[in-house]
Amino acid sequence: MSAEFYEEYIESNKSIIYKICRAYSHSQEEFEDYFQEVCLQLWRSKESYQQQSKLSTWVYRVSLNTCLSMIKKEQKKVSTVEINEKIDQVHQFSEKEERLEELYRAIRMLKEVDRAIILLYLEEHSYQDIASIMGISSTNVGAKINRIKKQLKENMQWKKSLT
Amino acid sequence: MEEEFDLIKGVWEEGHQTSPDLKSVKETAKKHKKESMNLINKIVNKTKLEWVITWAVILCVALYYGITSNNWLVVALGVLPVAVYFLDYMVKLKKVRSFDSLDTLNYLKNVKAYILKSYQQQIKMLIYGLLPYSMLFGYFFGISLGLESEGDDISRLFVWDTLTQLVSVFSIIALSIIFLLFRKFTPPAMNYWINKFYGKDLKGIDEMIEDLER
Repeated sequence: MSAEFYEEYIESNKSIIYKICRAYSHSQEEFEDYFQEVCLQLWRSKESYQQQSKLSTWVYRVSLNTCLSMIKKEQKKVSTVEINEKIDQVHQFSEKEERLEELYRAIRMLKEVDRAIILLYLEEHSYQDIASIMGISSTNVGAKINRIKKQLKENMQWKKSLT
Repeated sequence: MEEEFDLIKGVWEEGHQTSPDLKSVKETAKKHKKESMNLINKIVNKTKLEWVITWAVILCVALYYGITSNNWLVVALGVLPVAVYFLDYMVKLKKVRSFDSLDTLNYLKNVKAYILKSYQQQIKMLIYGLLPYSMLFGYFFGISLGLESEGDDISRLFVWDTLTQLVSVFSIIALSIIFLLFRKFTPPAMNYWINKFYGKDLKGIDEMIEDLER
């Protein structure tokens, strides 16, 4: 695979990076930090990509690993309500975007690894793909997804009861 | 529940139909290559700084001693173990750079193992390699200086008489005590240091590994 193809693929699949970074960041500033870091890691990893895995799997792995390794150091003890308020101040959403942001808020309330799994599920990856990206068995993926779906639904209900 | 989740999927798909205006990956990477906040880069940068300080101190001492004593063989023997240790670090660094592309569970396990193992290995190399080497070197260097001031030289130690026997017994006892004390107190001190600098990160990584394996 040529370097040009890799570059082109990454550039045309920036939306993957966008979705992952948005799920892990609590403000526009944090989003910028995550986005920069993931871009940097994908760029640095260009030469180590050896086609043993699909390029899309590779992009998800590098992006998720980068976000997971960044999240712990800057985890702030801020309640979700405060986070939501901060985001509302930064963004002015359309109705469609508001519903999406509500979903992102519910995703952000999940545990870090659960966020990664549900993102992959929402992106319609197969259980096998998710298992290969996360390093767990397909059976375990199935069990986790059922639990996370329930949790996500509860998070969305919780949000509604607040508003 | 499946139907309700289809609604969630609908929100996800509909919300992402229009793509946001994002910066170029290439340009962003080039612009921010010096501002990395990734845990791996943080570890690598911290270790790089430690090495820069270590080399600066060692080379200053070695140069000073080499110039004043003109004994470059002793300087070379002193710098050699540190150089070997440095090469070992360079090999490890190459391996660390490839962690990014592992699956998440292995990535987290490798990062954790790297933090722990590299420092544990440093302790072992320090206790069983560098420390005895430096102790013996320093000890006999001190004795040779003492002998020179008495108008004698180090070959005096090869004359097996009461004085050399006394020096030998004293040397063995003194070096053993220092070695045992160092062996006892270095690991807890090093663990304290690891915990102080990486404790939060390690705890976070542990939690994520646990969540994935559960």
